[in-house]
Amino acid sequence: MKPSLFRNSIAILLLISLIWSCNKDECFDIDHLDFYSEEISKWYVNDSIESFTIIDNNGVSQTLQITGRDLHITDKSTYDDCGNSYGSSYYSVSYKTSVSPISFGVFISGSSFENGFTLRLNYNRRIEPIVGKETVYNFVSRKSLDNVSEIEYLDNFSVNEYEFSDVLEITFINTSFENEVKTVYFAKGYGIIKFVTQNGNEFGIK
Amino acid sequence: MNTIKILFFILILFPACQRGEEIRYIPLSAFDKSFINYSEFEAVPFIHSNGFEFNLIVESKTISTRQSETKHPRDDYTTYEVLRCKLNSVEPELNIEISVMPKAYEPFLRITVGDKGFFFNTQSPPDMDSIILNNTAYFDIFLLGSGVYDTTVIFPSGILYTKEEGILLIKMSNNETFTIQK
Repeated sequence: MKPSLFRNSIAILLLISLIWSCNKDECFDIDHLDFYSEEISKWYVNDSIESFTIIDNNGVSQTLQITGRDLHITDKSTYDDCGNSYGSSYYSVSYKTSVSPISFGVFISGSSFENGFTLRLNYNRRIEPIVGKETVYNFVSRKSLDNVSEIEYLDNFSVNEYEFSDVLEITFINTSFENEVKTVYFAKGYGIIKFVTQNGNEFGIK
Repeated sequence: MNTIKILFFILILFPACQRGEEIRYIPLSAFDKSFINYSEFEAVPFIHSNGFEFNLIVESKTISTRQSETKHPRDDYTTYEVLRCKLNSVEPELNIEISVMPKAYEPFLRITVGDKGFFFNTQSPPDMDSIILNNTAYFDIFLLGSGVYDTTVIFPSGILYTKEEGILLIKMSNNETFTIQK
């Protein structure tokens, strides 16, 4: 590259970056952020909910154990050009079944970033065939953010005579073997209340 | 000069990387093997305490070798055989592994059901003379307990086992059972 061409390229790059930096960020819509921050906090699993018994189609019981939960809240994590700042939150809860080799992790996060209010569900099998899947739900668009699952928002849902409102029905699209988890039901404030395997066996709160 | 230094370090490190020697090989005896009578791909009928019937399938039965643990890499070690048998079922999803080691090394039979482990000493006499389960009599029964007493979680808490039939019964901590149904 000729020195003059090189100098010109640098100058153009500097100009572009200056113009870019002069663009003003959109101001935070604080009302919008406050609404969704409060909304996602209602999806955290209540502290009063501990491990509980689940029963399958054949009447066989086991425990869906809550093995950990955590909440991190930061007051000011992002800033806009209008003098506003906004915080972020990160909640997690993890589960394992006491007999079958299944583990779940649920992560609910909130921030001012694009797609900032999400619920991420991951599912793992602890023995072979090993499976690990993860999908993300956007609370604002009420849709899955990926092609791993289809997610429906159910206003009401019942499991073994228990009634729940505001439930996410998360159905993994590509499941291959009979004991692989196909659908997970996550209720606002209660957490996972039911899951269904590929062969149709349903494991619901008892 | 650098080459000489590297060679010097290799000469020093090389003996440290060497393993000790095998000083003993302990095969499984006929006595040891007699504790696992399952045949590969055999289907063993079971019934849950609420009446649900299913088969435990013998997925594999293999003999492998293990080496004894040593404090230092250069310590000599013993190699011993282990007979392992894996059983599983789809509904309910039970994943069971039974393994037996040579009496001459460590006389133990170990059973894991999911995350829970059980074992008994193969040189000990059976705990019970006989039991009738689903109209069939079984003899010389070993009782295995998991030794875990968390009452908030449903897990396998006890097993009845015989040399001839293998697992007769798995008792869960909520008193549900999976029982052989011959």
